[in-house]
Amino acid sequence: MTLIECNALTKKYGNFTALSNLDLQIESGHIIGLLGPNGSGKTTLLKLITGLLQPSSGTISINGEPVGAASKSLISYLPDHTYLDRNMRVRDAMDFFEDFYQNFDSMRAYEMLAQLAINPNHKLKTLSKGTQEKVQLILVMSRRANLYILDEPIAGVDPAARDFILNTILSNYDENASILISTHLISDIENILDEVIFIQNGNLHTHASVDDLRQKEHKSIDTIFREVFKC
Amino acid sequence: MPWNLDSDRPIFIQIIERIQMDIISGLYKPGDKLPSVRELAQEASVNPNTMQKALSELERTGLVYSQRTSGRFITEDTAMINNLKSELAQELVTQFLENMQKLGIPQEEALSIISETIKGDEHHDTD
Amino acid sequence: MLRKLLKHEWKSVNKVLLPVNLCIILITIVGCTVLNTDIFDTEESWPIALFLLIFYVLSLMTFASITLIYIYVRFYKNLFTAEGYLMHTLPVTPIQLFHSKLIVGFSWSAFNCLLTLFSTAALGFSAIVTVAKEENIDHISRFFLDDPIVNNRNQTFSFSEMFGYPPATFLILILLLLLTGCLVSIIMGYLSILLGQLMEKHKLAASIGFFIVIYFFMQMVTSIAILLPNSNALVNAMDNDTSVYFMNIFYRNLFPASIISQIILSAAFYFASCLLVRRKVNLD
Repeated sequence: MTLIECNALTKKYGNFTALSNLDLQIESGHIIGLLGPNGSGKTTLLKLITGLLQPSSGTISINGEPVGAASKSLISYLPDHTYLDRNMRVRDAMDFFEDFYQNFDSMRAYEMLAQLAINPNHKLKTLSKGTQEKVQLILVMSRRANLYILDEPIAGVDPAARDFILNTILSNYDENASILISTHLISDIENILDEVIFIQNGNLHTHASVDDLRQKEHKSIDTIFREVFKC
Repeated sequence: MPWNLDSDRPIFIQIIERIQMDIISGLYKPGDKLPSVRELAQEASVNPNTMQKALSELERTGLVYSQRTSGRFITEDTAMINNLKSELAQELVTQFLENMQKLGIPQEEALSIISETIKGDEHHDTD
Repeated sequence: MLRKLLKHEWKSVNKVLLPVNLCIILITIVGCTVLNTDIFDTEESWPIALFLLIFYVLSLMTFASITLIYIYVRFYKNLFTAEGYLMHTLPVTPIQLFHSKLIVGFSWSAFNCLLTLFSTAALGFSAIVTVAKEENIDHISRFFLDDPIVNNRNQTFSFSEMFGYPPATFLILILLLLLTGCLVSIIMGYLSILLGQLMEKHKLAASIGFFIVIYFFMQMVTSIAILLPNSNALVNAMDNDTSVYFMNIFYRNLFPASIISQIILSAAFYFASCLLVRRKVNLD
């Protein structure tokens, strides 16, 4: 079954059309890059899939189900900012995830925290911004979900942390799941992608396999992106 | 050794080349067991599907074979490995001569440059 | 799922509201203790007494305000700011989210209200016991037991006549009035926030605007509910000499009218909120 199916998906804000008649199918077992300039509709698409927005018209289905409580249990979402109560301790956040999500692998999560020398008893607000983001990433990736949606997971992060994050993404890979990564930092991430989606002005520009594109264009995805979205 | 992968060319082709080099150079001996797709993908920091594609292609050419539950192994056919070695060596030489031609250096001169470089290396070795 | 939401909601909210409301108990104890001393026996101590009284009343008002405002702020912050990205992607329905906030919010508001009432009663009782003279205490306790008492002008007073209901019923009605009042306050605060979210920009300002509008609307509805059915009776009572009967009718009508109108308003606001919450959030 197709993991995500969007049909004529449209989202308007008053006169402004953020997404226009988008038709898209995403299968499981892929790591997909969602690429496009600011304001292209990437974030809108992600919010529609995660249920944070409702479409103006068109449909989305996740594993055949419409967006709702059931689809939300299949999706593990990492937004591009902190979304946890900063007064919580790290272990409170762990308990929270464990409570609401079955298939939360807390052992694995605690392992990763230990690897990064993060003390679970510390309050989130005492951690640096980068560390808070890593905690969120660990929480999101420790769930056994069907779809992981990562919004700018490596932006504003030092190179060593970047490697840790990319490694975490790869080691969590499951052929029954897909990972959808929205990012600007294409050259850092393109080697782990096997598909890319280009979104421009609310429209689907390209959805292709990464190696096919490289073979055809003899260029990196980063270069192709710069050409397609030249200002 | 870190995997230096170029984003300009399909990754799976570069993976094939790298594994071929590792086999020829003796890093992987005939009959050796390869790490799992997942492990290799993590080591190379590439998508597991891409690694899978590369390994499938290597299987197709016979350089690698898989046993259902035990995993993937390097072929024990040393003749095939030597053939591959010769082919790759040939490609390197052809590439070298093409590059020399681009520089405007005729083939005989290219040949003497090679001889002198080798003698020079021998001198260094004996120093 | 709702149980889990409730569990985490209690955990977070208790951290703030438990200390605040514990303070009410604290100042009640302090107040009762102070009243039991004889510092008020002298004429000169009355300014201090007044000051302490004002301080006490302001404290109670502050604690009540903090409780209510915190409940509103938490609803907004937890569902419609950064934390909303977590709450709205949980495998729960929006109605469950709303119910968890409603149950915890109303419970705390009601608890705070009852605590305030209890504190006032405790201090009032202490005051009467220590300050009033012997014979007055006898009068006061008979009054509260609904026995008629006679004052020096040979006028008879009984609790039922003055307040329209016997003391026990009166107490229950006050409790119902306060509890339905808490309920309607909580729901209308939530509804204002939800209405504000409908706007594209300035959502918070819009929420405050909606709050003010709904508040005035509520006051209007409750006032009409109290006065209208009894306008005739009130006019007649005012023509009579005894103001006691006016009070009687006023109280007799005040309670059922207020309580019922608050219940109806609560229901209306609740259904409106449910509709809005399902409609979906457009988080920034």
